[in-house]
Amino acid sequence: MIEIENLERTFPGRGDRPPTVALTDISFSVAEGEICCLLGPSGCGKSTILNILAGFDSATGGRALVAGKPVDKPHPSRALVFQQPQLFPWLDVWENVTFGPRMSGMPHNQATERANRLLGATGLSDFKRHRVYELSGGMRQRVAIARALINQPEVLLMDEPFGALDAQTRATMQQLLLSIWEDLKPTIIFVTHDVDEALFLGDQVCVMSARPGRIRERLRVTIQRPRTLEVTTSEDFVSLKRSILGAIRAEVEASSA
Amino acid sequence: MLLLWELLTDGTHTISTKFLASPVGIAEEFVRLLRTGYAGTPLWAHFTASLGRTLTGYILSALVAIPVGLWMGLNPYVRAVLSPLFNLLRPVPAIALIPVMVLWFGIGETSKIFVIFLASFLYVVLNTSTGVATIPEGLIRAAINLGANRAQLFRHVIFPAAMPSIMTGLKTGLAVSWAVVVAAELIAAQKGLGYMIEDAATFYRINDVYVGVILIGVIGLFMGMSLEAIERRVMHWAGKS
Repeated sequence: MIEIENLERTFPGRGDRPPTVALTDISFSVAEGEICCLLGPSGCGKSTILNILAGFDSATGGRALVAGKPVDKPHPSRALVFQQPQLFPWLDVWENVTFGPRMSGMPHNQATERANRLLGATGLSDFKRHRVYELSGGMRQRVAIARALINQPEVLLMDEPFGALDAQTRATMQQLLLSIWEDLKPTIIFVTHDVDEALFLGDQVCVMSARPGRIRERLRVTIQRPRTLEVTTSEDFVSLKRSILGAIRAEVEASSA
Repeated sequence: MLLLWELLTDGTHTISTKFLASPVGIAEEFVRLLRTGYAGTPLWAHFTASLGRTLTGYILSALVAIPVGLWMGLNPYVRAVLSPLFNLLRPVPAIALIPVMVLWFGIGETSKIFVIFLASFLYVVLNTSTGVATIPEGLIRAAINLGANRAQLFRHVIFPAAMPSIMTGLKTGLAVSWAVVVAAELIAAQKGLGYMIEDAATFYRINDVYVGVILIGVIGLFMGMSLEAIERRVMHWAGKS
């Protein structure tokens, strides 16, 4: 579904500052219906990868293919969920969720049916007419997820969507995301800096390093699905976590040496 | 406070009513003006003359200023050209332009309306363009990502997102327009609250001056409150996050 080959992104220097290499030699692929987590520290370019896939930024080298086609401009088939929910505050929950269908002119019945289903799946059925500023952070992010999924995207690009939530809400949201994913099986690229989150959600995890952003390690997470929070203490999980943390530590030592 | 005011003026004559009219005197004069009018013109006609000028100038101003402000907000080139000009004009009080207006349009209605137009124009333009230019990039990206085309982006995201800011401009613009009408009516007017104040002052009719001042204050307050009520209804999300 997604193929990234030798992707490179260099931002031009300004004045006498040299150009910044944000991404170099990024290659990975994500199969249809798979969850791929990009794990790395801030500044490693993981959001840049998402922006390129979403069509808001262009690579300076290499290729990014979605469903066999190179990405050139933004399209609802590649839906983004941001760290901040970016809901439209002048619209209520229902109007936010049905924003995409209104733009594309989707038949009203179809939009209503999809919206009802997604609001049910995200536990928002009783909040259709609520104003978005009346909702908690977790609920706002659920609205954002429903709003992205209503267009039935080929790919869901999630940029640290739970990063601004408290630990408990984050755990709930992770489980909710997995249950929606089990139901609809969208292909997901999920950006995070949280090792546990990456392992809990992902079929594969790309561990990235910063300056320049590159993929240090790709590993498959073979932990059985459906996953519950219990798996985070299983032996498989802990050993994967140990190897990722080892890679990160080696990185830190290498860069401070 | 009114009681103290009455005591200091009519009650004890501590302050001469030649300078500060007494509340009772003002009230009596107001009733008299309601019955007989001022300078042969009924009081309500002075009121509607001022209100009509203000609203005409103000509404015309908003109709031009909002599109120009939106255009400036959307287009950096337009902003680069117009912004320095408007920022230069901003500290110039509209009243200072009255002589120029008279030169251009004579002493008729046009120059009065144009002064009011200018008074509110910059407030609305600059608030509108700032409102558009400061829309969070994330909201725009979200809308594009969800499939909005350029026209839809403008109509469904940029315009509503800029509305609270436009409204701030409209509120300030209205207050300023109303304040300026008095000055505009100094230009050879035969009707209007500003004319009434000016004329009454000339003939030392102190009570009439105060009736005019109080009416202007009350009406201005009422207009401001009306806009605020509209704002609360339409822009329910403003200031909440």
